Amino acid sequence: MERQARVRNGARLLIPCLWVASACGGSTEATQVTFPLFADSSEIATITTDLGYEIELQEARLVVENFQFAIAGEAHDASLWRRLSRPFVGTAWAHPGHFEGGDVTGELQGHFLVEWLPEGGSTLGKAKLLTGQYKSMNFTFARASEDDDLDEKDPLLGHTARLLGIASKDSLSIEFEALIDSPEDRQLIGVPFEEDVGEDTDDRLGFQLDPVDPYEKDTLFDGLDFSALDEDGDGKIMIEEASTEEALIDAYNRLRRTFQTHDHFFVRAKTRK
Amino acid sequence: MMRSALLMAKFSAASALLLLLGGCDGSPSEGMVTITSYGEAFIEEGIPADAMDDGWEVSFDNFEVKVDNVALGGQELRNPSAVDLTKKSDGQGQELGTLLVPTGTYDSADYEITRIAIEGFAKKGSAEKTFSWVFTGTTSYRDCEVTTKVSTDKDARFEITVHADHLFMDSLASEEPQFLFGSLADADTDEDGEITPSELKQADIGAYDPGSAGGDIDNLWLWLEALSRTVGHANGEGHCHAHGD
Repeated sequence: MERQARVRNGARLLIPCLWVASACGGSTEATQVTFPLFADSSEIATITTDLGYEIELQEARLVVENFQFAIAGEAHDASLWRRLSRPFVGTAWAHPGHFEGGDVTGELQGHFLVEWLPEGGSTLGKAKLLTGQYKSMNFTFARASEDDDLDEKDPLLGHTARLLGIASKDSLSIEFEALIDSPEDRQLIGVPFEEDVGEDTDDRLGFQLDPVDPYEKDTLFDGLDFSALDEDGDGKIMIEEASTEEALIDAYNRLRRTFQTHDHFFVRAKTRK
Repeated sequence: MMRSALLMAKFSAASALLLLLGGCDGSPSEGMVTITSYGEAFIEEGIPADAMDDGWEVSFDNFEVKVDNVALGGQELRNPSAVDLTKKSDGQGQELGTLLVPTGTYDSADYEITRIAIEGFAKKGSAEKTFSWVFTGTTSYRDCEVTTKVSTDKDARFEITVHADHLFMDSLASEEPQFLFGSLADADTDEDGEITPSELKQADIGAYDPGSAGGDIDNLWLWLEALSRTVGHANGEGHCHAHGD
């Protein structure tokens, strides 16, 4: 019996058309502006989760591919992805970047290892954007490989992201390591990026991880009871896809799906130094 | 004779021109478009186990869809009656109504689904679970990828196709999701054989991927509600831009 078709990403790629203006026969030519994109760790700070754990991140690294920058597309009158999401009108409507793909008129193609911690600030590449009013950014989660110039024993190899930190509550302190594996070609749509790009715009673009959603105030680690996950009481836990204990499997699923939303990623323009 | 033939030729040409312009009074020509809704074999006959990725087969006793505001060619069909897509239709689906539309070719159409009510059961081996779920809230399906050619000499058709298997996807982000029933079956925690919305609200979505904006989807009832907003298509596999209320 025939398997039916799938839901598709709504982003429309305009870049090929606009780069080759003559082929498209457009009467107005868009101007291309180049911006350095860098790993901006300025929003990472000690946070407190819904269960009262104070989280101090020590490492945050992510492997991604193909940044796309979108001008205002089909703005939802409610929330992004409402075709796929429950009716949580109020809070989601307040969250910028909620556009169904939009028109992609900027890009930085390639495979990138983004390091926010321990040392952020490195430039990922030069993004090319056409002038316009930008609203969001998309990227694709990838996996670290030996091509990323990592030590052969680097725990990130084969994974999408590594988060290392300490969760503290009362007198308890638990070291945690989380290795996140995203499905192949899993794209993240609608990272907030609000910038009016003109011919003379001269900024750097900071790709940020913010453990706290500034609009809904949820944290990346909400719902994780670190103490309960430390069954052997040694003060250390590992959260990964290969976990076999039910509590750790639940924790991994919860963390991964939160990490794979656009609630904790941002692109913000910074003045060039 | 020559003069008469010439006059006849001119008259014929004028008549043809008037026909092209749409009639003697200048009004455009119109054609009939029949609007239907069809659940394909998955709803009329059920989803067999080999079409699911965890071996469950799913059948529907009732799959009622309420459609509204079907827009095509500048015309609208408003508030047609709800239809049960489990009724056998020989591939024709259930008729919602007709529209008289100016002749021409139309490359998109819009519609809304305002309510879906389903009853059915799923089986795997000796295990059997029943369900009765109602999804309210309007989903607008816009700019559907269809081409409808309206002419005066032949009725056109626009079909709102409902893909029931979308209710069993494991991802709202993947273009190749798996189709699973097992997690829904496991939600029947009182083991009375019925999977209720209340039980689904208590069940975590586990490894399901709610997508880039799905951070608040944390139980299986919210998950199913989200999936119910993806079932609408057009003329088979035509996609539409879907918006929830």
